Amino acid sequence: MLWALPLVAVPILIHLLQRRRTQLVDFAAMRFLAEALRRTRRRVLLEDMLLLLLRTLAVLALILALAQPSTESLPLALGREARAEVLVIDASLSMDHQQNGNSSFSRGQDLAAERLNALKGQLDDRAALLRAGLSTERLANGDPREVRKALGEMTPPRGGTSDLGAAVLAARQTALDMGLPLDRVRITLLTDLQASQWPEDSPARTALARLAELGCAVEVIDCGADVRDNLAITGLELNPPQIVRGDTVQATFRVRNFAITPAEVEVIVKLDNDVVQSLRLNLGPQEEQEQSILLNPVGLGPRVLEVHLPHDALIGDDQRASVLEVRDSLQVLLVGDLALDSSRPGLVESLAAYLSLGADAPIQTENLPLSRLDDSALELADILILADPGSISIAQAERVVSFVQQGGGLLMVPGPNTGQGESAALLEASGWNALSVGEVARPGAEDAARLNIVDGDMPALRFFTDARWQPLLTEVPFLSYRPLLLDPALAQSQGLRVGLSYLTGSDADSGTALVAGQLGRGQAAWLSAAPLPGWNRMEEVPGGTLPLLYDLLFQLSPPAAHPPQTAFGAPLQLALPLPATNIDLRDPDGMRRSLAPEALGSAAEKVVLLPRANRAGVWKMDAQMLRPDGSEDQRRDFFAVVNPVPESDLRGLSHNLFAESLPPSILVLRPEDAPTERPTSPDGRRQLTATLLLLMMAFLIGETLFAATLDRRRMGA
Amino acid sequence: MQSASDPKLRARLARLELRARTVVEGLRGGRHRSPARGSSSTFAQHREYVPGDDIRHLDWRLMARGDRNIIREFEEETDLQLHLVLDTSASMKFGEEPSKLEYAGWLAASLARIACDQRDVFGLSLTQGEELLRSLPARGGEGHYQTLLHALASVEAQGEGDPGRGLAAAAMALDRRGIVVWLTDGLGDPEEAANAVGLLRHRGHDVIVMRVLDPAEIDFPYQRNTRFLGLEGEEALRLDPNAVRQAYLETFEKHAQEFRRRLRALGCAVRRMPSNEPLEVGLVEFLARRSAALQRRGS
Repeated sequence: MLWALPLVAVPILIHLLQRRRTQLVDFAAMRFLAEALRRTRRRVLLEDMLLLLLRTLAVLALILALAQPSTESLPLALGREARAEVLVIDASLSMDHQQNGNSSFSRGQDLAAERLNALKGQLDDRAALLRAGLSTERLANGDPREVRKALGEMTPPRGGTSDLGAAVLAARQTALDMGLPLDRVRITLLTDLQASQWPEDSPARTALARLAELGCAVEVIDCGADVRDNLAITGLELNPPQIVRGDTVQATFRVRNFAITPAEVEVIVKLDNDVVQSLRLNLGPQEEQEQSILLNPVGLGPRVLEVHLPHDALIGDDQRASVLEVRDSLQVLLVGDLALDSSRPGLVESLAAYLSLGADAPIQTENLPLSRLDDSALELADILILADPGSISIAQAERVVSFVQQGGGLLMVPGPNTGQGESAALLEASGWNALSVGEVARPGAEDAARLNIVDGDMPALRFFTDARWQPLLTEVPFLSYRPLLLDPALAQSQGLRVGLSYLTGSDADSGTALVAGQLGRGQAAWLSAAPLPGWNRMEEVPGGTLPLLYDLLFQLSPPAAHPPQTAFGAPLQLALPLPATNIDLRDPDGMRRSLAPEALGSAAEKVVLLPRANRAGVWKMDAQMLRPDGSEDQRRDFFAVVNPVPESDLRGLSHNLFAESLPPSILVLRPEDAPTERPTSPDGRRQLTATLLLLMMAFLIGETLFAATLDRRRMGA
Repeated sequence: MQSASDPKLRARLARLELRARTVVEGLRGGRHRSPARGSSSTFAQHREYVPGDDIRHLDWRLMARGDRNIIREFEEETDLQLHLVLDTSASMKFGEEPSKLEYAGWLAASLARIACDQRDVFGLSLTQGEELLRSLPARGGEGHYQTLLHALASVEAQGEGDPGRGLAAAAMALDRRGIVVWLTDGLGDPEEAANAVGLLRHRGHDVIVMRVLDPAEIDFPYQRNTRFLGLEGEEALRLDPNAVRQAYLETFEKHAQEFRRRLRALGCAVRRMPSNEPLEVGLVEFLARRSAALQRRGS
């Protein structure tokens, strides 16, 4: 009915038209008329204006009465009661979805601003603004002006999901804390109603339904776009995650079209910000495609590989990153005594010969007797091979285990001189009591044994699962072997995996040949069938792929300094060997971030730099650390890769079905259907209408009396 | 519509005695009462008494024989010079059926008829604004009366200016004392009117002002928003008549009172003649009151 508001201009128009509709009269006594006009002009003008005002007010009151307005639209002067708005804005990644230049988030902000603008602080109206992210932040509470300011300062979501259940509970508590009667409070949840966030019987739905018990108005506004198209990079893996110079890495990524229409998408692959490949994919509705590319990075050190999609409606899930570690070479420390009889090379000689691949080879080997194995020797090594070392002292065993626990790799090859007794200290230090070493079988015999692959998923064996190359591993001569004895139940609890078993020609003699497991940050493997130099049959493998021992050493090589992945919202942490005096932490946007208070001054396996990873991408760190002797050490690293949360499927809930699952008092609306004004009770509406009608009558009576007075005075004259 | 030659009107008017308030020197002696009282009068006829008649002329003997009041009328004893000054300024154009000018013309013709019938001499001056437009010297007779009627019928209201100055211009041309009847709407400056009347009085004239007004000027009956156009070049005014009526009437009446006060102070009779009043009613009432006043003075 408010469309009729322009009708208030009718009295004015009539007034103006009346002024225009004049008769023409010739008149003689003009001098008296002019004098009379001069005397009465001001008074007549005032009287006419007052009359016009009364008529206009009467029409206005009538129109407003017919519109049956709510009491919420009353101006302050008419004594509207104080009220409160609790606004909850969903700040999950999906709210950043753009349509026609506006995001769902900005639509929510606009609607929140409208509601705040309807409040008046001087009337004790109150408001609260809650940001629903991984946790719920109450950005402002109290004066609507402060809340408006906080709303204007809100930044769009850059990633992460939102715990809407917790947000609804926080809104409930905020409403209770307002100190107003709850029927004066309205809670508005501004969200995109993403179906994945509102599963049946979810805490969010339960919490929302319970809001109805409060007795306050509750509205859920769907700020999501009409067309919810989205493309996303859903995965990126590097195989292997670290290579040595010259090696090839396979990057595999997945792209998904979440729209119900086909899409053509450009995918850009960058290595350290340089575009290395750009390809175009055609994706059907809801289709996911996997693509692999091969890379040969030249530079050494950590390299950041990024895959991203330009020009998408939701950019937060259009990028994935991974850090590829490119090493110069693996430093292998081969510890064991050379054979006394040079005509019969022992294990050390065999392994040395096997690994001697030249100065440019990715593996560089140094030979050292067990007696000279100390910390300084281990400091430069990536991998330690104990080649039939003989008796290992407890101190040596502890040193070796410590080396592995800090990330080093250990390959233990028990030979004729290293039995259970000689190995006991190492096994005990490792905590691997599930494993024991058997007696030497057929020492000195050069015979062919057949190896069976037990666990093809073990990285060192994956190559040989191909039928073409299987003979390289399974039909090999061996120098000697000691069977590895494994207690299956204990082995599982201690995380030991069996990679190979062996069979002799008679099948009578069989046992475990390769056992591997994790020790702290590093890995250790026990190989009982020591290879002969003849094993290294590289020339027989197209492409130069090296066989078992080579792959096994890379499996054991120290892991990259950074964790492979950190979940969005999880703490950002890393191992710091020394206490840090200063850490420069940069987020994926290059912005410097404040550190968690406990980050400095401690050395630990897990030092928390930031309580929550709130940006997807690669985080960088530059730390100055203090050595015990007072000198400084420095460490620069890409230390964390944070991937976007799975918010890419933007499909929304059906409003009707969602509303049916909630108490009827909770409204589920689109922004264009959401009234800024608060609904008023029928009684309040009737009272206001009656008041307006009374006002209209009062104006009409006033107008009539005034007009009659004027008429009596003017006409009477 | 009445006409000056209407027999009914002429008969009624002819019954009235036109007497000058002051002693008038007649051109043809014996027809009017001379300044020396006691001169003989010639009996003319009897008629019914009407209120306003001089009771000294009641015929007591006839009244004693019947129940009617009979009055005796006498022929005039001396000649009277009646000079009519008619204001024909544009403002006199105002009014419908009749306009002020028409109404004033009828009055003038009526007065001339009376004078003619009483064998008085009568003249006419037509003023327009502040100027004397035309002047008919005072003469008697039916032929002159026809000339006067012709002059009245042919004049049109136009010209701007204060009618008082027009009267002053006419006064300059009047050389013999007599009765001057000024037919005007008197909307000009009262001071100018007083100056002109003062001039006439100074020269010995008896002055009667018949102020002809349209009822719309007196009552201001307009209701709708109106754009008033001045007849003498005044700026047009658009206004709500209801809103200004009170002030207009006050201003108008204040002016009228001032006009009347100033002229009466000079010994001048002033009579308001609304143009919607029957012509004879105005003349009879006026002449009766004049007669009574002269009687009082004469006694």
